[in-house]
Amino acid sequence: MHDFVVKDGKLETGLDSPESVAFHKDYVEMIKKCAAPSFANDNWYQVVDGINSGRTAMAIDSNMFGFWNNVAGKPASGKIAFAPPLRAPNGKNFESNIWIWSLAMNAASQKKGAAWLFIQWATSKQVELNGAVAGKLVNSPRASTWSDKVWLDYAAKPEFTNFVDTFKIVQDRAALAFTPRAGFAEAMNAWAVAMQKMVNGADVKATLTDLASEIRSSM
Amino acid sequence: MDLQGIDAIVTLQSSVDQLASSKNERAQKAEQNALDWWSLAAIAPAIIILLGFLFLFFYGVFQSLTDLKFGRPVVRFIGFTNYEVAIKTQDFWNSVRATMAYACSAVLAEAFFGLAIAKLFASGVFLARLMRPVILLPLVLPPMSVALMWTTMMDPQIGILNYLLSLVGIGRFAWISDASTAMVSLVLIDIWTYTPFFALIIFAGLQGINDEVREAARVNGARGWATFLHIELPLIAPYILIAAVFRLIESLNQFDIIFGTTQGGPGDSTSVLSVRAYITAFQNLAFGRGAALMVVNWMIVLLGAFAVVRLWRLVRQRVS
Repeated sequence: MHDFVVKDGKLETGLDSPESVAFHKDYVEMIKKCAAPSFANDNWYQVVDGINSGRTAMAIDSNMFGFWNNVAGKPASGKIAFAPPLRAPNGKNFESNIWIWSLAMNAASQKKGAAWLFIQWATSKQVELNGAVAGKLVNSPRASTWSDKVWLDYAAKPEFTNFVDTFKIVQDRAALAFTPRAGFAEAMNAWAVAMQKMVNGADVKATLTDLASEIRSSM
Repeated sequence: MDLQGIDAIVTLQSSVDQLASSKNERAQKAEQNALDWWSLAAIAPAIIILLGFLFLFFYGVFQSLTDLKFGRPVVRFIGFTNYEVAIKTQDFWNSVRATMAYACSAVLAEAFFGLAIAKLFASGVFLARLMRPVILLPLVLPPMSVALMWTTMMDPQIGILNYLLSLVGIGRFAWISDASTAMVSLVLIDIWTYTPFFALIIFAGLQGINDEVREAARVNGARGWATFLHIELPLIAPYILIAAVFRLIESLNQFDIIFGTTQGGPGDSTSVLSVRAYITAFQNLAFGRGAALMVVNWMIVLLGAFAVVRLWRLVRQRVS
């Protein structure tokens, strides 16, 4: 499922499609039954705290949540396991979104040479590996890090249950599922507000229809 | 006696006096009309700062009349389109309702509790003397710290408030995590933070009432409650209203506490105008539309403050 599809050569939101409505009904039910009562106000820190303290059984998000809390000496060390996401009912494989933080260079920069050298240094094999080994920055996008013995020996320790295997399986299928477009943040915020309304009892189909028409009007 | 001559001398004398006085007046007028460069230089910094503030305000108003948006290479003047688009949405009116509900209920409750605390202070009992410096603490806390503190305390799972309620047999309360209770919870935080402001101003008003007035009421048979209701309350009403003006302005503009706790949620149940404007401008990067919402917020603040100031004038005249 994608946030936007191309229809007749134009971007179109699929948020009010029957598949989306069915998915959201399931998702809303799952939040109602399983999420923390404070889900509407929870940020990353509360999710990490929930995992760390044992109040939260499962989190679907960044793998570093679990990794950092599995580190030896932490209360939850060795108690958190990793698994790839499940596939959709009619899908052959699971799909996973990847979120990448990037370094960008301004086209108006007067010192592009220096900026380019900095970007090359910051994303170099040595810096990435050092970040993973010394800084526990576990999401290195470089293949060289994931074939380095020092890093793999550390990340494959028993307390990081399934971490390396899961990462490698997900890595093969992960892709940027978001459609790059102006107004991305606005649509994300509107969707988050709609999700909270649906969890609070608003009709799923009607809310998604309103949301889709709001997003269409801003396109 | 040459009366005519005397007359002539008097007339001449008065003409000379008139000439002299008119000369003085002209000199005075000339002096008044002359620019006092030293005075102007002295107030120039204040005027420049004032113009700077006004420029920024009018620049914001101008932005609200454009389609300014992040990534848009050309900014166009679109008149009142941002306002027209906003007022046609249900979200906008929801924000107006939330802003009014938050501000009005917070100010009314703070005035009530502030009055009660001020009366306690005025009574001079030991507890009141003890509480007087302590009660100022919430006022000096940064609003964002207040928001974070209350978010932790109001957590439905691990918050201390639900633990305290559980001690008296009351079940889990959702506080800021449910759309139906979030606004009440925010008002509660505002009351905790700003009631001391009301209490201090009303206490000053109570201190200003002459004891002879109370004595006269007592002599005329007025008991404690009647003295308060018919003597003290009308006399401190201007103080309550002047505190209400300040608090109404702040409550209608409230951002820190609301954004720090709920960010306008759950859903959009606490999405007051200032929070919606921030999200529109700085998260959705639609600066023109965000500026339009801020201008609407400013107009509501202006009308609200104007209404309370008028009420304050009426009450003050009546008291005088």
